[in-house]
Amino acid sequence: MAIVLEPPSSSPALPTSSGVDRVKPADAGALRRPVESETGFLSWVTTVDHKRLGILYGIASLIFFVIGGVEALLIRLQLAAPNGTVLTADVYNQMFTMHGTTMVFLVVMPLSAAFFNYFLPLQLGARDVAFPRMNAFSWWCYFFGGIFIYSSMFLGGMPNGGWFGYAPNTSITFSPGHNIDFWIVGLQILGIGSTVSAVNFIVTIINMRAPGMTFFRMPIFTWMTFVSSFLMLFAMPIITVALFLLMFDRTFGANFFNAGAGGDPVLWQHLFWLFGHPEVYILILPAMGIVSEVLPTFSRKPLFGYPVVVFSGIAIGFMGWGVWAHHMFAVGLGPVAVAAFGVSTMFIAVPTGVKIFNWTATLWGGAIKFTTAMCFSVGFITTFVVGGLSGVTHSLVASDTQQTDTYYIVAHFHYVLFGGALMGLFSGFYYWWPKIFGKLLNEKLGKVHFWLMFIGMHMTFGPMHIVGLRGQPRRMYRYDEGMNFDFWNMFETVGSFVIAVSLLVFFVNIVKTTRNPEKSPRDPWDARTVEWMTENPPKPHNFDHIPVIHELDEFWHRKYEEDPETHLMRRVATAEQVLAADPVDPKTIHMPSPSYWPLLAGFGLPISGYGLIFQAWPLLGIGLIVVFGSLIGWAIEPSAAPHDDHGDDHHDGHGISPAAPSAVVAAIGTGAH
Amino acid sequence: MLPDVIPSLSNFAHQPVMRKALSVAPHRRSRVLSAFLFTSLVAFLSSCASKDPQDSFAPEGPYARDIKKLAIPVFIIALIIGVFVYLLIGYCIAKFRRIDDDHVPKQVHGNAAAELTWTILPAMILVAVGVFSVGAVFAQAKEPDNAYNITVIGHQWWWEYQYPQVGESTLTPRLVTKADPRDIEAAEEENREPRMLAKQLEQAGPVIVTANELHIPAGRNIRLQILSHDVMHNYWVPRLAGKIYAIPGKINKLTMNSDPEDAGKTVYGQCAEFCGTSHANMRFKVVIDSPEDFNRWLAKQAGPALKATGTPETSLIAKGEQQFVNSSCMTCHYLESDKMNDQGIVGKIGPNLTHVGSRGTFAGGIAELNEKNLSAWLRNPQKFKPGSRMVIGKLSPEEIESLVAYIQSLK
Repeated sequence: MAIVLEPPSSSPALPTSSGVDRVKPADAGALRRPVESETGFLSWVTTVDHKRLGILYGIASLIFFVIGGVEALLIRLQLAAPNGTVLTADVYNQMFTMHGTTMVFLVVMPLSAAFFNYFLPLQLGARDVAFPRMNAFSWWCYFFGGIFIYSSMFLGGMPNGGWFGYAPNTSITFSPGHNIDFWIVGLQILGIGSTVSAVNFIVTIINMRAPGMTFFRMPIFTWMTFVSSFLMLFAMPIITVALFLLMFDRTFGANFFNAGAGGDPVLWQHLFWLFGHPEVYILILPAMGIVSEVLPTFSRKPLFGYPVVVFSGIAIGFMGWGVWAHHMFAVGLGPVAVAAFGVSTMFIAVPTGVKIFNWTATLWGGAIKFTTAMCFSVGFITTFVVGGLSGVTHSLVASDTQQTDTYYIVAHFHYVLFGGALMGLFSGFYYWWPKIFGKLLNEKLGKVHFWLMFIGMHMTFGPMHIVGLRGQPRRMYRYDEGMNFDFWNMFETVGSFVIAVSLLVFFVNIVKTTRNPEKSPRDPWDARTVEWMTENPPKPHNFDHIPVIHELDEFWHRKYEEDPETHLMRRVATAEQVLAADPVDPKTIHMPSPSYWPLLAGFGLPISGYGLIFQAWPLLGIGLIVVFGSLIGWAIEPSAAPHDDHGDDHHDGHGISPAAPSAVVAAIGTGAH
Repeated sequence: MLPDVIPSLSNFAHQPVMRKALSVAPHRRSRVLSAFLFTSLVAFLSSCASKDPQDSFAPEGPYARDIKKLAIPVFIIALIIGVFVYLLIGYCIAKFRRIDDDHVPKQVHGNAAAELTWTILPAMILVAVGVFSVGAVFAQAKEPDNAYNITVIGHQWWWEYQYPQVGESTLTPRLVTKADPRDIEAAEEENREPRMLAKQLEQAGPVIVTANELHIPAGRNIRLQILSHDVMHNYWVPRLAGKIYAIPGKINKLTMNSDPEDAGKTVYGQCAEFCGTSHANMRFKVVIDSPEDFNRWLAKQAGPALKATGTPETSLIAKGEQQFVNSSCMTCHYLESDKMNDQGIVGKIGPNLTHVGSRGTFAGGIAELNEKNLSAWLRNPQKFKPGSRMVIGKLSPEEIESLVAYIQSLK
């Protein structure tokens, strides 16, 4: 799509002489572009505004979080006592498969995407992402992909081969139903969305930083988004290939993983974990970014060793590609291979440890204020330390042959992904809620939420270390009385319900906050970074004037100055003073117009998916026509809505229509591209 | 289940302890936290001393013991580092609080010496740990001298064992591929080639085939050659060794050993890799025999089943045998006896039943082999063990009674 970059001045964008602008809105395109509006169903489904898409991601992933949580509770109820009868064996297998798939692909990744979407342009001082319609397309891939996978519930049963889908158990011989097909095609649809997002975020970060924002003046959350996006960009193609091979095995009788015909089932494991291990860093890095924003803010100190934290994130991003076989220590790869991967796994602990020490040093000597966001961030560190250390114990190959496939592993990755990633994301909710909705979440309920979740987390996953070492394997729908797993399993189940209660408290908090008319102050946390240098919530165009960046913590440095004698910081301006500026007539700022095409293109994917699964070839054809037809429509779409007056180069403000004017200009701060 | 759990949960949330934990003053929270951590630590350490059936920290042989010896020091190092970091964080939380709204601390941006320290020091600790870890990998993988070879084959959802005939100690298994009989019918219907699976071993010499219970001679190195008949499985006897996958088309090897004084003991294991519906029902026992007992057992397993004679059940057993021979049982089950040999059928799908009556358990080691369980199994295998591959028609109670008597007689 055409992007017209704004000149470096902070004056409102003027359409350039690019040819695209010369096309009169009504002259091209199959569908008229929808008129931009602030409210209404249509405005949400056609939106390309990164902030609205962020909110949509947030809502959908919280809904999926509840679904995945209910699955977890059912699993815990089944295992509360020996020989549980809550679920049958097959339904239990569906539950743990969908719990894993949901939490990874439909909760943590999109929840991170929600924060990327909302805060990336704001932290960069930009007006939107580089490709707003592609951004909307990513969202629809996620939305339809999630619904597609769960529709299997009504079409023969949910996927039941584990989130790792090991061949040949997932082959047509051993899983003849459509369960696995839904998993394969659903993940492909989600994968398209993730890849497109990754490209979008990378291009946005490289090209759309505000004037003066060098890479090393970028907020740390943006840095972690950057690393995480690169991981996504390179990891998604691998799972795509793996899923294609499996799909060909299942649908067309290929023999990639069929040992009987000379195929190799271990190939699947290599492909899956070569994706799967970077994937866990995709899940954790955004949360690390959030924590790295929250800790300095509430300690009133800059992030200790910012460049080191950045480079350790990059190091994790690189090393994350060299450790995948530690998921396969018991597969029989031979002593040389497992020894090498054991050592590489050990050393990925170094950059992770560096981060933890830098966070602790950020706290050291600070003026710490324990808001709920801060509680979650400190909770994140303490839990992540445990998960990190148990991770090091896995790198002892011989020892891991005892631990792999047991609850010890389940404990480990829930400490890093629940106690880590999700607690970090919750920290982000409490920290940025006033930015997104202009209201502060209730702190009292927030603290209750934190403590219940923190205690529930340790109650649920702590004892799993013990039962795992005592020999309880994973993915068991039942265990015998004589195994002595009863006590801790019941304990874990109680813990899981404590977590459930904590989430209820969170939802009550949301409802209460939404009903509360009280507005948040403009700078409730005495924040440090660029996203706070605008209204709460921001206007559609984010910034009236694109900020010019001089410092790493730009906002902070506009509020505080160093006393030349004592070298201490003193406040020189309030947030209001910093942000006081001449208001700009929004009509003079060009924002991208909404579009139907991302929605339609996304909608075609599940249609063709159903066609493929049920081998209903006409349906597959229709779906593909919808997808590719939409892409063509997208390409020739007019640059603006019909009532826009921007086909000619002046802004006379006759816009009586409720529409904010729009044009191709994707609203950009420059100076850094 | 539900009514049991919900009240205990709500009681928990209203307990004074909880309310207190949520409302304590900030400086006391760290104390609550440390109390909690201490309790978990005690619970954790006490768990190490337990004698649970599958406790990986209660080894009964040198291979599992070496793993424990490697792991424990690393657990302790990890614990020390963990406690150190917790103390640091705890100190920060307790000490560096915001006094008032104007409190702005000194803006420290970093410290190169500190960064280098906490990069290099952990790396050095890991190098030291890595040396031991790599050593252990090669020690565990080394082909032992004078090992007794046993072949283990994973099936959905039970384990098959093949022993060399008495006197032999080496097998040279060769993988052959055959169509899965389960698939042939479906393939014919769909007019396609049946899918091929790595299926059986062709043995160099005669073997003894058994299932579910592994007998090993105490104190002798056992070299397991592990294969899979269908999907991936993972063979695990926590007290004797680490895990190893059973993979179609691949032969994996694992060495285990037991202590000589363990003769007479039984340890437990199960499949650890998700392998389909009844993954949880793929368990087994390892019976550690004295060398003499082991040889006696082996000799007995090598011959045909001992038939009970002269007891009141004899006629019932004969009836059961007739039924077994005349039905489709033999399509899947092999049974070494005169009558079977006449038929010339070698069923290899289900467990070899030659000495089934001598085993303590059946159906993937999940149930004791007794009249009650066997009757329930024959009434409805899928109800007994979800997804079971055993396909049988409806049997009358009389048929079940005689079949059960016959199966139990096959000592």
